[in-house]
Amino acid sequence: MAVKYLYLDDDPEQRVGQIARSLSIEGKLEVTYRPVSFFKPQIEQLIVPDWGFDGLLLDLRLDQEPRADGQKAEYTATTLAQFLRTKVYDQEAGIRDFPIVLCSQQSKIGMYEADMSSHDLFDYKFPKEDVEVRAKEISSNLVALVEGYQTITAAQGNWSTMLAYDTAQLDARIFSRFTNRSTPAATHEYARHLLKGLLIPTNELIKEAILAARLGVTTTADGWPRLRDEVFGAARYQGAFGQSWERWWQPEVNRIFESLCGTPIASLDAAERVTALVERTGLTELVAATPIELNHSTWYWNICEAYQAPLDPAEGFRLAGSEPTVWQEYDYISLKALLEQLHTTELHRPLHPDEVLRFEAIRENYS
Amino acid sequence: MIRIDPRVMAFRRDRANDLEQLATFTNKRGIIINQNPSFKEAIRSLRDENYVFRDESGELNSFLWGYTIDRLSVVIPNVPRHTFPVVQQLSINISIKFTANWQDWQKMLDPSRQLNLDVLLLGKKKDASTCLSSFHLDKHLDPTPLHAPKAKATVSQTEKVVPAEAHPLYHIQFGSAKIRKEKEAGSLDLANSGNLFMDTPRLMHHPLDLVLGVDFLLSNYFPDAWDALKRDGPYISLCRKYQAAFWKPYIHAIARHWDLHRDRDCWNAKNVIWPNLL
Repeated sequence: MAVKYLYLDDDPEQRVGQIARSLSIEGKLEVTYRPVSFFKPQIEQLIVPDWGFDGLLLDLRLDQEPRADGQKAEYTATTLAQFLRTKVYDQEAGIRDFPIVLCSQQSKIGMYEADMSSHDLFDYKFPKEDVEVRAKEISSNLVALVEGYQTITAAQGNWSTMLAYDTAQLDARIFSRFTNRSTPAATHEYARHLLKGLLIPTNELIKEAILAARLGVTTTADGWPRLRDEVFGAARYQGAFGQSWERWWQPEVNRIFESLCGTPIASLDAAERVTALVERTGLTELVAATPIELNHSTWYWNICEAYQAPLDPAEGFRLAGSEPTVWQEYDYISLKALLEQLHTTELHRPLHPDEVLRFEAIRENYS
Repeated sequence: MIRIDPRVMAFRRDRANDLEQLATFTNKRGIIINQNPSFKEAIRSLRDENYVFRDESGELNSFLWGYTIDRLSVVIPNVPRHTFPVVQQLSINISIKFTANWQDWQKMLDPSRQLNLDVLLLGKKKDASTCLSSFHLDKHLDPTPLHAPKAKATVSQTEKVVPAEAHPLYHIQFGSAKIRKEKEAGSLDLANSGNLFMDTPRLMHHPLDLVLGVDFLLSNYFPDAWDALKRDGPYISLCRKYQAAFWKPYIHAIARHWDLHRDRDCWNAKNVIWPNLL
């Protein structure tokens, strides 16, 4: 059965109906557009136990365009989302938790970025303009969110079930927020922690570019898909949201590498890692990645977020963002990308405050 | 006021970042070292443009960098086997005083000006009484360095007496008579403990700064954490950087004695002879 999203917008169907149509996939995802109502009637529609949808897609500014009767809705997506998130804890209401996704015009997303207190309300956000270019990816994320919510709900608070991984092997501090709670956490709380705490930042779960960097190989070489899927396939994350947020478990990657090559990955540089992998797997097409221009080290462990290319964090510069927790790692940018200002123009992220002086001190050597 | 060269400050900030990183890596493995006030102060001083380090004779010198860590205490989760008497709780106290000239960094020169790493192990027995063990790594300060003109012989109380025993430049000494000076020893009747406290041999040892010192202590007292850290690329990179700065000149200087430049890794030194070598 297709996953169903309700899409609320103050813009009329002529203008935004195409978004719903582009995102819908026959038999897989149905996105239904409806013009937004006033707060009370809108809420009454949404907080019935069976409201007919699996997820909610909201335009950020619901309060700008007048409705047919000439009046504007009096609230934004954040107000509505906050109300729904709290209402889930109202046992009498008995409503089911569901993903809430935000979409907005690129020009208006700045307002959302500025309002940091609302960042935890939405599971996922995308600019409306992106629908034209990457509808498939967005649709797949919308479906994965609903399936992930189902997995989390069924797991009844058991993290090992949610992650499809024995959490005894992980740092207990990752889950400490959820232990000894007087009221069980709502599904959206688990979803948020999973997405924003484990799937998006680098930690024991790593994305493909980082997996390749740690193995020392280029992703463009022919041998890469086989190495990734056949040799390291067993390390692939199988838990909630994993269909769209593709990740690998670092401890499993370590285990596979060590059982093949007999030494920890970190003890070898990229050329040595690739030589060992070629020798043990017979994948002779594998190629060791060369450093980004101006970098020298091939002891790769992370990537330059701008180039998505491997770097040794010792040569990288940390990017600002919410400060990593004990179990998470920083995101990095390479010197070359930094000199080209790609952190501002492409990533829209400032340099970490502790790196500013370091960069300033060496910048003139490259002018 | 002494103005510090911006290059020195940039170097000092890098070293401060390294200490912060070290704490991040150990914290990740449940070993919290950055709550110690002197550790925080060490990072602050390295970054402070108005803070000038002093040399071994107490003179201000704007080329120096370093830190003083005082009694950084960590509980050892698993009491090592062969520990006697039986203790309920065991903790390790690390103190280090280190200074170096930034220009000597990663050169084929002695990497430090001053280095004293003191390790105190504190056991608590079932009856709440304490037992102690200690060792230290010192850089031996020659009172008459070769390159300085010999000071005029004056009889002063502070003048160092050149000891007759062999003093390798960097040496480790276990459980020496120094233990009597520990605060915790005050309540103990060491004289009647059945132990003999004296200067044990000064064993030649490669230098250990805080980064390499912590790695050395983890490898001995926190083997599980060390095992996990060996798989953590950036931790390995950090150690490798300090090994290049501290061990490369030291080992090279010794190897030069025989002038051997062939047979690289002929004896699997990295894995067998010296497990800490990365």
